[in-house]
Amino acid sequence: MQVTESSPFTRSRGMRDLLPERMRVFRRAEDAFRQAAGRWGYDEVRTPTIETFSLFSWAGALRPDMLQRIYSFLDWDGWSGERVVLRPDSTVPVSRAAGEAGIDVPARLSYVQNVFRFSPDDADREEWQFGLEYLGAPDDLGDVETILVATETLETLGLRPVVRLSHAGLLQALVAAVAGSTDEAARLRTAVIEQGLGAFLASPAVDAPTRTLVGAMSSGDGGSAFARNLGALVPGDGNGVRTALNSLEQIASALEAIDVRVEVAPAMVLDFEYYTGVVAQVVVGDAVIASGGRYTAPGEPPSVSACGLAIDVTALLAQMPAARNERTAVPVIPLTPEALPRALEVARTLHRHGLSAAPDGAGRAAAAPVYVEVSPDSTVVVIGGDRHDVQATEDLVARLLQVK
Amino acid sequence: MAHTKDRQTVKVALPTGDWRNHVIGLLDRAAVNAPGYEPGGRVLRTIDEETGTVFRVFRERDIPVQLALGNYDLGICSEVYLEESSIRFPLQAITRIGSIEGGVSEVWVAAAPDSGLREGVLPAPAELAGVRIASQFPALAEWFAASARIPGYRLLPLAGSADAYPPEDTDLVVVEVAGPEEIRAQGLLPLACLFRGGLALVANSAALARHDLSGLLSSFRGLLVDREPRRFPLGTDASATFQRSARRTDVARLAVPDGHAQRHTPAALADAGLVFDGYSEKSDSRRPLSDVDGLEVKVVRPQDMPQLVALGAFDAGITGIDVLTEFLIRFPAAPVGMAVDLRRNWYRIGPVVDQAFPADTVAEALPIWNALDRPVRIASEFPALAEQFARDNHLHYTTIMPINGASEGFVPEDADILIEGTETGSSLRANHLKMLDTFIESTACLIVRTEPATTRTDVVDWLVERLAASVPATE
Repeated sequence: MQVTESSPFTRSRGMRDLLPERMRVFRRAEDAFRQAAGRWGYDEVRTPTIETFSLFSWAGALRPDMLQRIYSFLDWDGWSGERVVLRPDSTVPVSRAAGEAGIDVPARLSYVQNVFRFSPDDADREEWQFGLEYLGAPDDLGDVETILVATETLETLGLRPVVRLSHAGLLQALVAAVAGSTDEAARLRTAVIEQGLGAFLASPAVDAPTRTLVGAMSSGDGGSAFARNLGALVPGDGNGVRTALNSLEQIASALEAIDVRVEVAPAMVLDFEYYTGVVAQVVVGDAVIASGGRYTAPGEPPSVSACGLAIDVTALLAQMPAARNERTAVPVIPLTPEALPRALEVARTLHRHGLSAAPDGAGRAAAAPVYVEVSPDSTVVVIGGDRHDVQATEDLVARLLQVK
Repeated sequence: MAHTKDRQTVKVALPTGDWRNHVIGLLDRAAVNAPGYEPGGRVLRTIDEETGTVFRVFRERDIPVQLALGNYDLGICSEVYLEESSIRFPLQAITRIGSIEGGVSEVWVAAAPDSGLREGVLPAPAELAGVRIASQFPALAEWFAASARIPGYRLLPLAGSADAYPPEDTDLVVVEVAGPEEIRAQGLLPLACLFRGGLALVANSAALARHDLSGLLSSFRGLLVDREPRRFPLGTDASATFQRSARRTDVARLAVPDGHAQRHTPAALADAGLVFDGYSEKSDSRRPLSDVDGLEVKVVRPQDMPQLVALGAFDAGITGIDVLTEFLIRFPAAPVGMAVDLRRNWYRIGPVVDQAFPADTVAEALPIWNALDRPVRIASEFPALAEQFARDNHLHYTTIMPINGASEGFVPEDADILIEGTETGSSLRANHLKMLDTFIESTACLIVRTEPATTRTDVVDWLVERLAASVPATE
């Protein structure tokens, strides 16, 4: 079908078709993720594409500007005033699903699903994610585990990941120390998320020792030693900063010990507000492939501490080579209408031996390098123009396996 | 007539409604001639023969949409509606050239005086968890709720009359007013100013980049003033507490219409022996008094009634079959339905086209519409009915344009079809339009909640009986 720019047969802006070549790479990456998650004991879940708007406004998980960029609309029950959304995030829905189903905690849950967020430019508005939510994850251990699922996935795909670590508690503690009210704290936190630690240093309430510490934090990144060195600069009791740096040092040391490349980057701030502890990015080169961290799972009390991490599939696929199509179907040509049942039987026999085959017309199949002709009383396999009569199924399968 | 050959036609959108008289004065000062755009005038489209400029009069809410669509090059519109539209559609291709002198209005969030709040103070977000917010400006209300980080709020978009809702039918309202004193005059408590703006000169971005608009821009330049519309940051007071109200369920609540329908409804009620003190053809009380035991009455927009009844805010309402049908197409499972067809205010709804359109029935028109090499543009104040019309008639490729009034001016320039109602057809004929087949006949009706929200179902049943008995017999 010919499609022009003004045609109704065009995709909606910001949406992407996953065509065969891309789907092959997608499945390869997905398989690597599922296997890695499975090895660490994660069970797969899938949540609905549509959730209630209230789930996200109650959770307080999204900043106001993010909340305003979700796809929300009135569905068939919209007369109640409750809008629904195309899920903008998977962490909140997975926590919701686990709580609603009464899944026992600790629980290791993984998912492969898409999220939808408005983007003002031509960037994708639908993003696929491979994600993990470890509900009730123990401190540090849980953080390390989710990071390692991501790095194992990438290593399986031949990539060399680097883990960048920070801690949401650093920002919270620093902001709490200088903000006079919860309003001011929220505004300052948003400013740092959007503009970096420079926004924090602009506050006149920051004292000299804290300025020294934040200056050192902003100086770059390093290994576990960097976290330890920063800990030495923490003034007074540290107001939570010391605890956060200790946690970072612990996790960085553990990862370094098993030869995972680590960068402690305290100035790194992730854009979701629900993080409460260690946050991580997994990068390949300059590309951020995965990100996540520790949060308090939204839902009814008692609150559950959890770790989550999601791989951005678009970013991951951009690092992977194209995958060859290894499943071209062998045309099986019924030479007469009466030969159709035999042709179908031949195709099914080949399927049982792991070979792809499908009935086809003589004209279209003639260009194929390999095909099978079936008449009511004979079967001929044609390989590179050479014709071979085959008497038994085993003979046909053997010849095709040889070609494959 | 001046020589206009080779000159590109410039199309300008002008407001009707509250701003009309002010804009007429501005055009006069700018020496811009829009013939027939006069106080009380009914002209929807006019041309300045000398310059070839086309002027089209719209409801102010429709102007940003028409500019963004590229149907018009320049427009004068309310900055409140421009802001509302920009929040909802941040990518719309509109350039705000500047503010124009004249009155300024404000958008405020307000509550009932017995909400326990103080003027100018918003409580902490958690205190407002789950609040109901009603507004004619849903995008601004949404921006407010998100910015204030209110958990689990519910938004009730309204056609109007928001000031009538607190405290029993909503917790907060977002309203456009001249200032906080107007909110106080409405018996409400002003909490926070969200936005302030007046009139703006706006352009379609592509037209500004590629068309010669210099003549009109020069004329309008003298009207521009140094004033920026602005949104305001929200401050909160963590110590403030919020007192909610709920509707009484020990009474039955009846919603009666304001606006155009208010001209006929008091007579229909009187025929059933129902007279409410403060509800007459010309009264403006929001809460008329009922002497029927257990019956509470309130005046709201008829367009909002099906949702209010479905929500259980009211047990019954007097609205139109058109409005109910529009609502039930969108929300077929909503617990609201017609109890009595009052057989008053009859009019018919159907597809309206230009008189020169070469078809007189939908069947004749379909091949013409489906052969267009572009979407068939359907404008309507009833977008769900318009969509249903397109679906039922297998129109292949359509765009639906929800509009807010001044509808007869849309066809043929801005829309191919107008889904519109008419009683006698005279207004259509006056605008050189014709209706093809009628697909809905609408009359006033009593709607009720199918799952009672009141304990006084006896009062609702009594109302239904009285009104049903008063309906004139069909011939």
